[in-house]
Amino acid sequence: MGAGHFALAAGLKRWAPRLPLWVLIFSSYLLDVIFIVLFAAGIESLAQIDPANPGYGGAIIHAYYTHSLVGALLIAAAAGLLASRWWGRGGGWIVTGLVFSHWLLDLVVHRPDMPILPDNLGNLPLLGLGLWQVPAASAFVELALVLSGSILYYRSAARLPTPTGMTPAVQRQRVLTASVTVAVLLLLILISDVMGL
Amino acid sequence: MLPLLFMLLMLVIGGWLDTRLNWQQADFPTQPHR
Repeated sequence: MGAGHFALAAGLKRWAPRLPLWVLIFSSYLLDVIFIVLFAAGIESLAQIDPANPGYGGAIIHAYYTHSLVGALLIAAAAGLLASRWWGRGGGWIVTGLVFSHWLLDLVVHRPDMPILPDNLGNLPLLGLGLWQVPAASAFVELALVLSGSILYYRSAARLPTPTGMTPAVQRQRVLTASVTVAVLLLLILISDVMGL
Repeated sequence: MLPLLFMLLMLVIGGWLDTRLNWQQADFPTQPHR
């Protein structure tokens, strides 16, 4: 679910206009960024359910540190604390929420493979509502997120005042360019993900 | 691999286009119902 996370980040500009888009995007994907590092180090892993047909949402993910409930909360808190140095307390809280939103969205789509405690301490039940088992439904939810995020981003950008020394036409062009680029890239992420490219 | 490439493009190009807009002058969310 790359597009869904990114779309949430773009849509959040409505409530966090002063946080740069790249910060919001990076925050929304931080758990997977750390997962990729730990994956490369051999600490976390993933396995295709049907190795002959790897595809959209067809994996069990053994991310017992980054995608554990407590691990995600700790990473979110650390990221928020760091972000607050540059974007104030409000920005820190938004980054914290956005980092943790990754875990919540993953909870919806993952099969039960997300532990509560890091390294699945105590062998507590694994979490995951498993929407990926119905790929069409999962893709529909992601598409809804992409459309909502794109529209929210455009509507927020369109409300920005024209800077001094810039004509309204140039401002409109910049808003449209940024909004269309964001929307197209979100759709490309989703389509390439769903098609398993 | 393609989703990762598009995600990287979104981070870099989307992020850059976003910085060209004057978000620092936004008068929301303090005035959400204007």
